Amino acid sequence: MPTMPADAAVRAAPQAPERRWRRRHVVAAVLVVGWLLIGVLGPFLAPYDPDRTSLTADSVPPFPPGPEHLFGTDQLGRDLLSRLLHGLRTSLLVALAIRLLTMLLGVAVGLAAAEVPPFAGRVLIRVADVFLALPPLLVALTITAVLGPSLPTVTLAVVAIGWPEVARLTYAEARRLRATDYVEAARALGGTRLQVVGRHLLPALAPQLAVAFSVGLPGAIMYEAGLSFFGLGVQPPDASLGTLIAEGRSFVVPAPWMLVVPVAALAVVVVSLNIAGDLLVPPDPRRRLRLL
Amino acid sequence: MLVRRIAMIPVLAAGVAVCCYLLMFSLPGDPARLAAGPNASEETVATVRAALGLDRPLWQQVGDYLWGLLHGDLGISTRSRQPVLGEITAVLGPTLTLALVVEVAAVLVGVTVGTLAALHGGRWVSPALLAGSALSLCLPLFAIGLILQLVFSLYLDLLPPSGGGGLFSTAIILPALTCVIPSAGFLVRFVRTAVEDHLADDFVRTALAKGLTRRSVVVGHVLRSALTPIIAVVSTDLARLLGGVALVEVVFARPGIGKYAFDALETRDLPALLGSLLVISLLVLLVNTLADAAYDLADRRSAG
Amino acid sequence: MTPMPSTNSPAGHLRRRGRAPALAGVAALALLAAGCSAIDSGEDAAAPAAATGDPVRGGTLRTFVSNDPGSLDPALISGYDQSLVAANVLEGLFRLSPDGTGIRPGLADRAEPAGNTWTVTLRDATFSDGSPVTAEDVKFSFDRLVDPDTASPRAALLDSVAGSAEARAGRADGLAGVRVVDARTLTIELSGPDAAFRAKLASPNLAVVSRRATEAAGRRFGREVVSAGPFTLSSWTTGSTITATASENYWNGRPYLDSVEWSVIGDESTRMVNFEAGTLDIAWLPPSHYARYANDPAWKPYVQRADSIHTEMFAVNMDRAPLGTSLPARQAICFGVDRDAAIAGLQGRATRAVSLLPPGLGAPADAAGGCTYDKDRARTLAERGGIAGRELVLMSRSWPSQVATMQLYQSNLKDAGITVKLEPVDDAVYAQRLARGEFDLAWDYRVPDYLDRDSFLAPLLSSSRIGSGNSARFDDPRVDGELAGALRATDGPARGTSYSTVDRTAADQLPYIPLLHNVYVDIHAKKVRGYRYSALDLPDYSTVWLAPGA
Repeated sequence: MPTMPADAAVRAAPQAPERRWRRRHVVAAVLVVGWLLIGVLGPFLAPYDPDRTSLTADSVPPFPPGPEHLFGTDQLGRDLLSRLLHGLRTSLLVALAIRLLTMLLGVAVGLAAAEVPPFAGRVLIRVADVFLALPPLLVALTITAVLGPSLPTVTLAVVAIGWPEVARLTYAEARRLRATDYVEAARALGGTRLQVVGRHLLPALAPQLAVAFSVGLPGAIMYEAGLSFFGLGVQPPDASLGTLIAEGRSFVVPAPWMLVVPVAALAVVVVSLNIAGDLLVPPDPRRRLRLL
Repeated sequence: MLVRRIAMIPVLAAGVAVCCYLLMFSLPGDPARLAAGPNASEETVATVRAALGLDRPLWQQVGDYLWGLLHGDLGISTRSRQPVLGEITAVLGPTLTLALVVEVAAVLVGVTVGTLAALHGGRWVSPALLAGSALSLCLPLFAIGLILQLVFSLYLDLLPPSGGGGLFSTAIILPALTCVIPSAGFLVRFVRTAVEDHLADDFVRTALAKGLTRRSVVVGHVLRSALTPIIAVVSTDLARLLGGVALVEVVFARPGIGKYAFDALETRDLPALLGSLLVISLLVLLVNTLADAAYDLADRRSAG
Repeated sequence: MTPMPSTNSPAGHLRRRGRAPALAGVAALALLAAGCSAIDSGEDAAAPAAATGDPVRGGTLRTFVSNDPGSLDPALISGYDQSLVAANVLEGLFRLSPDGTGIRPGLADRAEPAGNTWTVTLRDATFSDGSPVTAEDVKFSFDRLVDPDTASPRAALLDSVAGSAEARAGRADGLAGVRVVDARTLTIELSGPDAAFRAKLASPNLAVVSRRATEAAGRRFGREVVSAGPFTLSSWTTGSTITATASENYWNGRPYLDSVEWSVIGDESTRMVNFEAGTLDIAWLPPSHYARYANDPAWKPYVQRADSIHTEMFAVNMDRAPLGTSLPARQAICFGVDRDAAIAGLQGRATRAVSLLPPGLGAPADAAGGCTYDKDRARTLAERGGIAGRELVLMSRSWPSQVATMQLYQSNLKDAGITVKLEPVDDAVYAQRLARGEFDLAWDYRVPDYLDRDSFLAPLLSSSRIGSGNSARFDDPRVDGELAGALRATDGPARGTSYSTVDRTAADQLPYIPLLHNVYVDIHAKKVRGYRYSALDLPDYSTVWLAPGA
């Protein structure tokens, strides 16, 4: 077999020298937790009020980077560094919420599909397939149009397009585990279905679910940025990486820093979270993130 | 197996249709008011609403739509009042052309660079490739598009900056290149890993020991094993491109189904939006089914 | 990985942003002064700046629309992109002057009102398919607009014609008031005086189409319109390009250009790249590229700016407390926003709005009036009006340039102790909520449907238009009386007085808080001659020519 299915990858990992395996996990955890910390603490480091404008009839921003404004200002004279730090928080926290909810819904559907009678299970998985066939961006845009632009809406929209993949993964793993001896034994010892799921199946799945959670983080950030770019996420004057990029886009000629700063921040976050994901599980082409 | 999968497509498509309906009819905003404009009186809005067929009960609208669908009729666009099917056919052509060009180019570039990197990878090649492909994945498409436009159209004056050209027009090169960069960057990583892994395989060593040249071994054995990542990348990518990369279409002013659907959403042109969602989903289902079949084939061949 | 950026907006590229904010220069002031007089005289404004040498025939002008117009059926034209093409392809009894500030005869050789009846004599003109334009075709086109089966959003344009109510309700077969006398003569009987009727006749919605061709084309008609304009639609690739070739038989002479090609380019930076690469001859000049061209002596003559007939404002929902019920509260907002800062942010591409009427439609001469930014005064007024410390919700469109300016105003008002929460919504929701009065305060803008003050003030302020233009739900019998009187008046100065009174009342009562008038700015290639920018942003290419070798 030339490719490594996701489950095989995780099972294979412990076969590597134990210490190296641990180190990879530690580095990955540091990357993920580090970014989350920056997200939470960043705003406290912001030198200015991110919403404070300085545009008047006599003083017309955007001002380039300098000692006063490290990353320059936007067209309303707001400090870009402060906006970036606040925007990063929004983006990271939304990404976190997206992944948590996606996992919750995906795992619930996946486990349900594995535990209900086979026919019903197949129907549930087909529902996931239907969602996978829909163009993600258009569906997300339509959902935000239905619910009105806001952060919770964007979170829901991205969850709606992300859960099927988690459901399929959970379903496959749960079915594999069900066939293993110890789950069969637990069942034979008289555990109810819920007990077996709660005490045995979920704990056995936990490491992989944790991995799936982290692997999806960069994608969630990209999606949030994408939808916010369309003005569907965080509402002005609050910022996120997506809204900063959108604002910078039209000023790329007179004020390139307005675009370069948030794009660079996005690239750094996404690259480092991707690396964290790769450290946890070798990349699998079949599980490529669906791009917007 | 393939037959069963193909038989599944209509079932899934029906599911897609149901999902889309549910979404469509919960969209806020009044398409008739939007079409009539802010100065139109309530009667004018009512006339427009009736002409668009939006004054009928919901079940009747859905029923009529499904009935039309069975006859290959996707309804009339509320914006242009032209048949949706004709408009979708018109914008689907450029989308399919672009998708085709992008996939062929991505496979050529990805496989060549990935294989060369695996065969001749020096110490600096590996991190450089990693950085390059990571960057290609994280740069927003519009940034790539903008840079290409500035370089090739403005400074070098080589290629037209935009336009809806077909397969043999130079206008397709820049949008295709924009989409190829992340796809190829992604493919390079997997081809390289696959080739490296398999160079170490027993059967390859045996083949080399038997006196086959390195080149024939690579082409004959190793690349075959890279088939699976290629199928994976091509199928996910195709699905994305068929969904329409609205952004690329906008930056390069190309007609395409992604932008068409987006405009339909903006203007609450429900028949057009519904039609494009259905067409896109059907194509994606088709691609996924073919990809599954291709996996089976590739697995069987590399096993045998 | 791709965040899906759009272009000029968070839904931006995909959004029509036809109208550009801009600034008043000396040239613009001259143009608007000419424009005011041109409204009634029908004279052309100043000669185009770049017209030198003798016009030459030939060539293709490459220009743009931001979205595929979808249909050019005159009855269905309501969008900006449609109007852009329509201005060059369709022909009515009257047409707008190329600078967009005056009305000139089109297919009508003579059209005189006698009492309430207009007698129209047609020129010897032919449709683009070569057949003659007859009075029968004119009646057909007008009847078609009001036919409920056509479902035209602009059917109300003919409301003053006798029999329109019956025709619109489907109770009559066509307009009783429009009668064919002979092949080249028809009479139009109005049910009452309508001082704006001539302006209405210049609307693209009242363009004359060939009856035979229209009936033969059926649903395809929108893409294959047969009218009698300077250019004739020759090809239409959905979402890509529309081409129109010169009409050999155009009544006012064949245009110099062989053809005009509109590319669908929604993204403003893509348009600028195309312009700089020489693949687009005309482009709207976005603020981000403005300084580069405007400060370059080589390009400066090709940058055109024109005061637009356009007003941006906040609409106040007069039915809702606290803003609707408290004049000091509305004044607080009026004095609390820094229009000059907004104009500076737009690089001077706008002028301060003192009242609702834009300069091109006869704004008051004393530009010193209106609300000047004064945050202390705003704070005092806010306290008096009971809005200090309360959160107000400001609904706006989600167009990015708009949202940016809204954030400036939000920040200004915060300084005056007024908390404003922004609520950008998409166009469909915006239109619905504005019509239904589901807002407290909303950003709004107005351009006229036809070139007359009636089209500007009546929809905004007449109580009969509540929910259909009067988004503030303003209800004042005196204003209603003045507006109705002005429409009936045949005497020009008396009309002017009435509209000034209405405009002043609105500025006192502030159902709408005037913000800015846009100045449109565009740039054209050096070879483009005889081109002038239109105050309605509807350029007419019939007199444009391309200088060879430039």
